[in-house]
Amino acid sequence: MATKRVKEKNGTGENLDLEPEDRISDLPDAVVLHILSFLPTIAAVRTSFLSKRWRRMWTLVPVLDFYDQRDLDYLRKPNGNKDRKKFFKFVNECLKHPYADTTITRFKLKAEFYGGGHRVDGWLKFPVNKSVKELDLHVSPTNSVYCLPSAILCMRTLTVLNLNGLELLISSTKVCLPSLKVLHLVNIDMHDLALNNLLLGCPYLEKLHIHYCSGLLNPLVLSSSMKSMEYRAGYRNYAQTMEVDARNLLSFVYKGGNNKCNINLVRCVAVRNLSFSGACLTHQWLEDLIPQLSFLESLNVDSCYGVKHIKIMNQHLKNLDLDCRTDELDLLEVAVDAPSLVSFTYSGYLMLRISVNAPDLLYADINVCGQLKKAAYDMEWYTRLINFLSEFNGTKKIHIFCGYEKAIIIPNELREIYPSPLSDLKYLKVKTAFPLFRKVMFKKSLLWIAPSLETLAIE
Amino acid sequence: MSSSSTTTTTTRLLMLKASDGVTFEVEEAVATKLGAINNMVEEEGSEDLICLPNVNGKFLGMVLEWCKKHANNNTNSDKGNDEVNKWWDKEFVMDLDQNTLYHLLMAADYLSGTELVDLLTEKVASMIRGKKVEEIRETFKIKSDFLPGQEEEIRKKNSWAFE
Repeated sequence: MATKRVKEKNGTGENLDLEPEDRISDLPDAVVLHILSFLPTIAAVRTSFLSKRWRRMWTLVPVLDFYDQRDLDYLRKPNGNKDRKKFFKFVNECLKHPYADTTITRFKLKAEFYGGGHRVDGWLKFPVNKSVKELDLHVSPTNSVYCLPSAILCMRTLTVLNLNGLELLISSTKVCLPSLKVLHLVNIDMHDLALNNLLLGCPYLEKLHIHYCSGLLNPLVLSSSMKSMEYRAGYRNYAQTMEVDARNLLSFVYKGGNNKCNINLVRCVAVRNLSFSGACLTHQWLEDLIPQLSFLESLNVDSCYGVKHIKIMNQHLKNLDLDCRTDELDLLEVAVDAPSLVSFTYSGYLMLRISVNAPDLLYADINVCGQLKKAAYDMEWYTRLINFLSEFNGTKKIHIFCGYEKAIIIPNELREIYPSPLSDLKYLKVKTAFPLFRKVMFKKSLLWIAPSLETLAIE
Repeated sequence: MSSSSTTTTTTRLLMLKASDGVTFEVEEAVATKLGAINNMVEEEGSEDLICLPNVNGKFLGMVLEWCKKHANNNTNSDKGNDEVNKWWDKEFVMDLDQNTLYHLLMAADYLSGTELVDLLTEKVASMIRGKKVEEIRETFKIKSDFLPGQEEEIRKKNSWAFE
């Protein structure tokens, strides 16, 4: 270690212009370990052959990160059985190598699973004995399913647990994860009761992700500590009902696969951010829920099926994002009554009726790219556009995005019948997807729409 | 200890003096992104001039540039802020030569700029990732100082990492 450290005698970085040799070996141990902790373990081990300085560094790295095949000779195609054996040998050798006195904070294992759980079970004794803080276990099942050993679920030091691709048969197993803050369940096969049981053992859980898990049909997510939850429906398996009982929940995100799911959020009284996409909701459900959430600040409803009328009434809502661009959607009416609303983003076609009561609205972002099914810029289209825009007359700044310039060039005969829809607007920015051909007419139309403009930006 | 008035005023200016005498005037909110400066400010209270004999002016300037960017980006709490920071970080480390990288890392480590250390160490890690031992040696000009035969011995002993 001593050989190369003399170069910089005063350590103040003088002689800056000298072309330095080996700089990286001069870094303090803590920094070198920090660097190595970003690498998969195989790469860290290989640095031990660089020089004496590096020989034992890898045994002090607080992270173990085993990736099957990816880093066993970079870019080389996996070679079935042979590679598998090499990987097994590598992990075995590493785990019996001198990590004895090293504090391991993070243990990651990503491997394909070919059956015979005893091998992985054996490896997982290591993070249990080392009392790691973060455990990331990604098992891609080839022909059989790996079942998580119960010892993992009693690790008192664990703060982050990411599980991917395994089976959790833990309906009655004891779960005790008193330090756990973050739990990600991805591609997990588990039943409703197993989830219940798991959450019961995580009294301080703050963040829960349930992505593409099969077997959850009518889950009850019960947690008084949880602050954020994200659910993504599986491709084949999805929940039919879901009840979330989390009185401190701040953010709830639901991404469905356009299947019907009856979601009960009634007890999530503290929720501030709500987001639904690909959900099969009813207008009644939205109408019942939204006014009850007295801390709601931001709501995002994206391509949700089955909603014909959206009525949003909430005293505190600040941001609203409605994306209704799917063809199957037959949204007919939007009514927004939100006196605290600051920003409103709307993407979709122009529905029959819209009413917006939001006196303090600062920004409206309107994307009229999606057209009506019949897709014609006829009198009906322009009439709807005028009616639509007139609801935003009190807004400070409006951005409009549309496909063709034609969509916004309002015919003269209509300009004679209707008053300017945005007569008070001062700031307007318009962007079209296709180049402008009739710039003058386009601008003229915009100035008719909003005659008091101080700023008009066209992109 | 610290008087409450000094820690609460956000517009207070600090003078940072580098090893080569170059001084920088920075807002306290920017400089205290560095853990070491933050501690000094809390301990020394009213002291406005901070001497940093271990950091050269050129690199102190770069560290402060990074701090400034992150302090500014964090004040306006926009949704896309993380993205902006990430993009900016990427630019920041993109063309650093190894000498600069080394001195920046030493400076960031000395000044306890945790986030900056993360960024720079990850950059170094990315220069190691996916390379063979010989390639790493070449990249960083590392000379093997093993005795003749010693390297082969280690390789043989640890052949499981090489197969």
